[in-house]
Amino acid sequence: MRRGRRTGQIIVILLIGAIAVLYALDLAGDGQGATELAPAEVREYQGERLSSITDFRENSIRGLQHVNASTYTLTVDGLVENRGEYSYDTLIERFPHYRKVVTLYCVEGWDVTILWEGVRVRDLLEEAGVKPEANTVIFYAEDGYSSSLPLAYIGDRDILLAYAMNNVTLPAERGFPFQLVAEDRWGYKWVKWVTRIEVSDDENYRGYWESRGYANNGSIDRSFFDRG
Amino acid sequence: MVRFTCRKLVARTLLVLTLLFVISGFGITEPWLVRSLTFGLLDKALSQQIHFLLWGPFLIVLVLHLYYSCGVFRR
Repeated sequence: MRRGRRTGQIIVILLIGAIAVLYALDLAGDGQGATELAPAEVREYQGERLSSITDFRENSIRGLQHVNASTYTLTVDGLVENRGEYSYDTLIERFPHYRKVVTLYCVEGWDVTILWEGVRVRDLLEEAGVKPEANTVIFYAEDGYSSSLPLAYIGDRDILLAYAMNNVTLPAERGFPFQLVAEDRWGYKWVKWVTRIEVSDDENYRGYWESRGYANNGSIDRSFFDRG
Repeated sequence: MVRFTCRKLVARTLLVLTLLFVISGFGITEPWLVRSLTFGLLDKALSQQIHFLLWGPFLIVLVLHLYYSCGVFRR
């Protein structure tokens, strides 16, 4: 009986030792796996043909912006309970990821259909805790550009802050690190290089193009010219 | 007495680890359900980290639990 118990103890010690070694190797191996290369752009998703990430026309107000991911911070402030500041990695690791195919319609007449991947703006706002009097969300970009959307639109729709398009990390010319995917809104609502999200009660806030005559609503089923 | 306390401790630890393993697994596949059930404590990223870290401690405690529970090795 005593011998059986001793054998049992030896087996258990060996098993635990083997598991501990494997576990330690597994932990040590994290991050030392195969080098991940940039994935290739996908051009078809669930049977739908996609545009290329090179099909866009450059029409930003101050040209290409180069944002450094290691120093980047996204600020969520305004009428919120908890002001938020997120680094690029925190944003990507902390919030659930979503994918969807959305078409961007530019006022210049061209359009692109892209598989966007990102985090939901709604999730960021939920974490910040929007105050009851808020009704508008203003997006600010690295180059000084800004545009706004109604809070209800953000809440009702799965509006993404995209970090990837067609399975490729956003290139600088497409708004790295984050571009707003304002579906069913004209292209001037799709803010690139987003650095700040302000929750406001100013529903008449007019962004860069809106203050120059474009419609504040920006819905693609209406004219993009503001007709009062 | 010591053996009994150890057995109880191991069994309870295994229960906690098993629950954590299952919940964190669900946190990966059903992030929204788990996030709301845990009042926002357990999101997808955290679930994934916990789930991947748990297998070692889980197996060790499982082996100990089997040892203490197995009749052959009982006094």
